[in-house]
This record gives sequence, structure tokens and C-alpha cells, in this order.
Amino acid sequence: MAEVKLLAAWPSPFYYRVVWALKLKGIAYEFIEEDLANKSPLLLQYNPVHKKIPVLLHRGKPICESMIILEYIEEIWPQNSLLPSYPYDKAIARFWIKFADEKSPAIWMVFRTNGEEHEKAVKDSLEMLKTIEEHALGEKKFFGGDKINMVDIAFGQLAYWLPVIEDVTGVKLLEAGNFPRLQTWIKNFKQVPIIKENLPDRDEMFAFFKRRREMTLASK
Amino acid sequence: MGEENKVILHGVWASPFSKRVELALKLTGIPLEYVEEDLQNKSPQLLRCNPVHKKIPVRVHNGKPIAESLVILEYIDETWKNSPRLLPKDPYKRAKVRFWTSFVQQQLFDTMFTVTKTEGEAQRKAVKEVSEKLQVLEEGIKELFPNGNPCIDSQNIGLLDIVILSLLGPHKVQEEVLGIKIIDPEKTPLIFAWLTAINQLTVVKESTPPHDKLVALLKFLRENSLKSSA
Repeated sequence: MAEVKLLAAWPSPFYYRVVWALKLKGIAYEFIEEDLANKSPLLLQYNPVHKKIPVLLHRGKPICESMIILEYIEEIWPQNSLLPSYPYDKAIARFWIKFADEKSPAIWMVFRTNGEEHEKAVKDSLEMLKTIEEHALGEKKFFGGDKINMVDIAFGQLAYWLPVIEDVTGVKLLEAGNFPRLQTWIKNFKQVPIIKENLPDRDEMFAFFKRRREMTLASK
Repeated sequence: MGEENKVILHGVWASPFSKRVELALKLTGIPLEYVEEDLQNKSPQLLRCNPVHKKIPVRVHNGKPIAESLVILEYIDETWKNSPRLLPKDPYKRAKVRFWTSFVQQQLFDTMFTVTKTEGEAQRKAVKEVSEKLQVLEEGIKELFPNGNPCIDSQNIGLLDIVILSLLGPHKVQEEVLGIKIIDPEKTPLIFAWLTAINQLTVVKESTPPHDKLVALLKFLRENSLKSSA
């Protein structure tokens, strides 16, 4: 019986956050695929509060919420550290992780709305990208410095899911020339071997999200 | 030389986020210099220390700023190892504390603000939502207080206690101003007992403004909100 199991669903960016962390630390795990349209008794048992994925099961004990899972993984398996060891730098990392979690939903609002709500979501997304460009990266290659860390993982959806949202909605947030630091980060992030080897298929994602958007807008 | 080792907290007495950090610093006995900010006229130091959000609280130590109350509390927990710890040592228990802190922060805070700032149907809807979320929390914290009795003292008070206090500690004030029961000892006995225990701590009583001042503040905020949305 696997010591570590991951209940998740493709192509959730939150699922991939946990995959990247586990792979970067070389931790073996068993993937249990959830059908979010038909949630399993297992998911409802292990995450009764939110009924969401991902859920990490370690020795049968559930941990929920992707960034809380990552902090747990970091504490149990400290090799290939994903957070700075110096407390001040760790606090700055956590500040940006919180920022990523609070502001990234704007790109999903761009994806699932139209009209005025959509315009606002585009504006919020651009503000978020501007803040990251101006304050978060500095001159570093990655948020973690020379190597990626938890902050890079937290912003991962901007590197791969945002371009798909752009394709599906026809809204370009990352245009040529704007946000140069962020766009360079995106290129570098996708080249990191563990990330490159663990990304959902782009065409399948596009098809999935295109259908999703059509269904969401039709139900409004 | 005086600037080093000095902890400065930029806050606002009326802010629950500011209060959290103030309380944590008091609990750990860390001497601090408190700077009361005027949010209509933010100090240059605040804007320099938190250029991203321009918000309080900001904690500055050795000239280095940290913003976001929960980030500050985790930092305090990591740097002052002798003091009462804000988070448990065990990683699984830490994950549980972080989970419930996140729940209170994301599911309850905004809805409570809606309760205090609206009336009529909007308020009724928000009150119902708060009530439902409190039931979830009541169920969830049973595992944190397995003997059904939240015994909180100044040595074991932690992150989640501080966070719930910052939102619902003043529930009697909220109930008086709004005329609505927020924490019903019959529906959520554990939460009620928990808040009562925390509110009784000397360090908490000392950091809590007088009841009348809080009532006046909440009335003022509520009237302003209702006027501006009219």
C-alpha cells in the first residue's frame, strides 16, 4: 500500500503544484483520479469541508489545500528545499505565495465570464501581472533564485494555464514586449526538467477548457 | 545602533488584522514600538515597507519589513523559539491549524463584514451563510478539542485562537450593534466555549479596547457603509 497518495483531477493547476513538489523531492506516490462531476466517497470523506482536490494522503491522513499540502511536504521531506531557510526570506516567499493565491483567481474569472465581469477580471489580471513584474521577481531568474521554489510553483498557473485561457477566450494579457521579466520567467520555468516532464498536454487542455467555457457561458 | 533589534508595528487599533499581530507580539513578550497609522494619510514608512498592498499591519525588525498578518505570525513563530509557540511542532497538526485558519480567513471574514455592513435581504443571506460556516467550523474543531473543553491559557494560545479571536472575539459587540445572535451557545457550544476561554485571558483583556469604544466604532462603520450604499 502506497504511503503517499494524491487524490486529484486533470488538468487542475492545483493538482500539478503538488505533483511538481513531490517530483522535485523524489517522493513516490499513487495517483487516484477523481471525477469532479461525480465525486467519490473517498474525496467526500477526506475533504468534507470543501469537497475539492487535491488531497494528499500520507499514511492514511488527509491534508487539503494545495499550498498547505506543499508546506506539509516541505516539513516531512526537507530534501531539495522549496522554501528559504532564513526566516525573513521565508516570510517574503510566503507573502508572494499568498499574493499568488489571492490574485490568480482573476485569470479564471476572465475564463468563465463575459461582459462587465469579464472586463473587470481582465483589469484585475493585468494589475496582478504588473505587480509581479515590478515587485516580485527583481533580477532573479526564478522567484527562488537560481532554482525554482514554492513561489515559482505557486505562480505556475501563469506559465501554462494562462496561455491556454488566452487562446480559449481570445484575450491577450501577455503581449509581446509587456511584462518582460515575467515572460522570461515563464520561458525559463517551462524549461525546468521536472516541470517540462509534468505538464498536461496543451492540445487536450485547450479542448477541455474550450468546452468548459462554452458550457459555463451557456448556463448563464 | 538603536534601530537594530527594534520591532516596529505599523497598525490601526480598529483593525482585526493589526490586533492579531499586536497580540502575538504581546504573548511572546517581544518589546515593540507601535505606530498607529491614519489610513486616510498613510505614513511614508508604511508605503515604503508595503509598496505592494500599502496596507497594515506591517512589522519591521532590524529595518526589514514583513506584511500580511498571517505571514507575520508564522515568522514570529519561527524566530522566537523560546516563547509560547503559535503553531504545533507536528507537521500534520500544523497543516490542520493552517487549514482551519485559512477557512476562517477565507470563508468567514468577508461574510461577517457583509453582515456588519448591510441590511435587509443582503444581511439575512450573509447571516445564514455565517451560521452555516460556523456549523462546519464547530464540527471541524472537535478534533482540536477532543475532550470537548477548550482550555486556552497564555502558554498554549496559538495561531488559530488568535485568528478566531480577531474575527469573533468581539461577538457580543457585534450582537449588540446588529441585534442579531452571531454565536449561539446552543448551536455552536464548542465555538462559544472557545471564544469565552480566549476572551478571559489577561493578555487578551489588556489588548482589547473597551466595549463601548468597540460598539461606537462598529456603529460608525456600519452607518458609513449603509449611507454609501444607499
